Amino acid sequence: MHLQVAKHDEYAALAAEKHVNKQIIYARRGLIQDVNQETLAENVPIVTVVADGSMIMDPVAVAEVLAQPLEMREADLAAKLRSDRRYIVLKKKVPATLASTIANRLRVRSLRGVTFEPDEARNYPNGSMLCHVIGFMNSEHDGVQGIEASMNDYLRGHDGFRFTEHDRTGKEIVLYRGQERAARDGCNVRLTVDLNLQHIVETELEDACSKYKPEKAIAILMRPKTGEILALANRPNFDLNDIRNKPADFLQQNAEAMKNSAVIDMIEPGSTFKIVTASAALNERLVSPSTIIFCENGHFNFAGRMLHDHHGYGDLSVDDILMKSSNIGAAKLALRLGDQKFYEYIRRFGFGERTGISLPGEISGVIHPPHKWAKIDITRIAMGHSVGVTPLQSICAMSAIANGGRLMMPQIVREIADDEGNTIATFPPVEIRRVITEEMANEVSNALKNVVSDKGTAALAKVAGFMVAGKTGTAEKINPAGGYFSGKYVVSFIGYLPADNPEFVGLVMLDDAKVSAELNYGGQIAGPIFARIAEKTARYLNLQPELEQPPSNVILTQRER
Amino acid sequence: MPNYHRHNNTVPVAALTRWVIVAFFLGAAGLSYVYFKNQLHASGDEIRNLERQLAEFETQNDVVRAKISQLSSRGYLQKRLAEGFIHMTPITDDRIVRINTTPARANELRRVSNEENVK
Repeated sequence: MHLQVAKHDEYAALAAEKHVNKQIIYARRGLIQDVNQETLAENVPIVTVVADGSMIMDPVAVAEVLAQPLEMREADLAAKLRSDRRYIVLKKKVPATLASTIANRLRVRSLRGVTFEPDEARNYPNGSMLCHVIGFMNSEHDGVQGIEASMNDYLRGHDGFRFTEHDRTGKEIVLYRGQERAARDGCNVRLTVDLNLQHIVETELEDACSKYKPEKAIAILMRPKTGEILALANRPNFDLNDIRNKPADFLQQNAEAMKNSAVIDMIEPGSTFKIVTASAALNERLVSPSTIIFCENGHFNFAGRMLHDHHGYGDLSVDDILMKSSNIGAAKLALRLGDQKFYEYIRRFGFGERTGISLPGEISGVIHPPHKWAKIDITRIAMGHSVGVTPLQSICAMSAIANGGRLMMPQIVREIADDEGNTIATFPPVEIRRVITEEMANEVSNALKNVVSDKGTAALAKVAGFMVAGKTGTAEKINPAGGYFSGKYVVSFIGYLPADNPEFVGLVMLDDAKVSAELNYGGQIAGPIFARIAEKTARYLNLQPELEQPPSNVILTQRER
Repeated sequence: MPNYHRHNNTVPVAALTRWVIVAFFLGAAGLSYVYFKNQLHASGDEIRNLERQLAEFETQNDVVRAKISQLSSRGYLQKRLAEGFIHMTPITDDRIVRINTTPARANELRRVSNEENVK
């Protein structure tokens, strides 16, 4: 009576605690795929081998079965198994096929007390390719970088559970299975990135890094009409498959290599920013492409400070200011605009705010409002100094010009599908705003065509058979301690083709390339890299050449052997 | 002399039969219960075995899928290319014939090859 009635609930609970288990049914993490559904991240089943000391009758026999496949010493194993503890982790990350073999051997010899807890290891078939975009996970299976982090909620799925009872030998009594909820596997995330284009970009960036030994290098390809990112690569990079085998402090020590500089790093863009200055002045109809600006023969004294041009120019048209990349010309255009209007256009081009790309850690950059500007700041900002922008913001701004003045939100995720392939969410192109009129965008585009000509600063960025538009940038590298590093530059080129109907925009940026000062310019270093990437990309996208005669520098744009 | 005990000593066939039948049914029910219970346990064991086999197949499937991805990945193919196991010849511009076609409209689907010309 005491057992069955008076203390029924207490003893029933004790019995349940002894015999009832909540068995977790693990959900599979979703795959990450490129636009052609090539796998970028997948799962490999592994197990954790666990022993229940209270169930093991013959530790020596169990150790004999386990020692060789688990690559452990038999004596050490037997000592571990002699414990009365109910949960002894013998080995983690054991391949599932090996675990299956061990389980069969134990079954044949009727040995009990060893269980295999299912787990998954993430595998990245392409190693270091696209590593900053894909990202990686921590030991808790949560994404900490890249798409693994930003799409973690979609990828991870939801674990299920099942209440089971087992007999005194540990065998499950299927008849007494309790409440059950099936696991919901994670969704597959399909990116806008094309692995073929990514390979082109990575190969060229790798070659450039071997040749110029920069501290960092970034290359991005983007489709201006939709904002889709076609390729994105950073250097230094790392192998995603190495992360799980590294010690805990590896991440801290190599934080710089793991940073997606394209969205996390802030740089002074240099002359590529002049497209903002020129676009604003044209759009406000303060000047026309042919308006002549006196460029002070290379020395402009403003607010007590001297501004220089690389070469001394007298009168230049607005088109020529872009073509020759005149600092003084750009400064004078900004002065015509005035602080407030100029600031308004900078913000309209998307600088000073996050682009909204689905990658973690994106920064907004630094654009100070006009009331914080010193008097000379407007002349410095006009040529891309005294502002902090991300490479992604720069390519988005250029895409706005290529897209007839419409700024698109950059997209890296194309769609999300469940494990059966049914589409759950798609990400259609998002127009953020119209920045300038289509007419003015075409005017700026015409001026940018001249930049990639024999008279412009980016003659080496020409691509055989195509008209290219673009802008070079060369900025002194900022010293975090204050001021600038002497003789260190961030060189860049942002361009698109075909100039009249752009299919892609490309950015190439090298931070502190190790070359002589007279060669350390965007047009000299980043321009040819862009040309090689663009030539291969145009061929891959099957773009029809529009020019009868190949440009004169066709030999220069071939890869240097 | 009348036999007064004759009636009393008569075996109560009806009652006995009734009890035998009841006992039989109770026994049969008990045995059936045990039998079906055993059957249920046997089926449960079979379910567990099938679940284990299914899990093993799924695991093998995942392992093979991962292997296929690895072996068909760009990095691996590039390595095989460098080893000379496979060979690729770049298509030079003089080997490309471009046919002028009107630009495709948005969302327009086109066949990759012109089957009529093939015929």
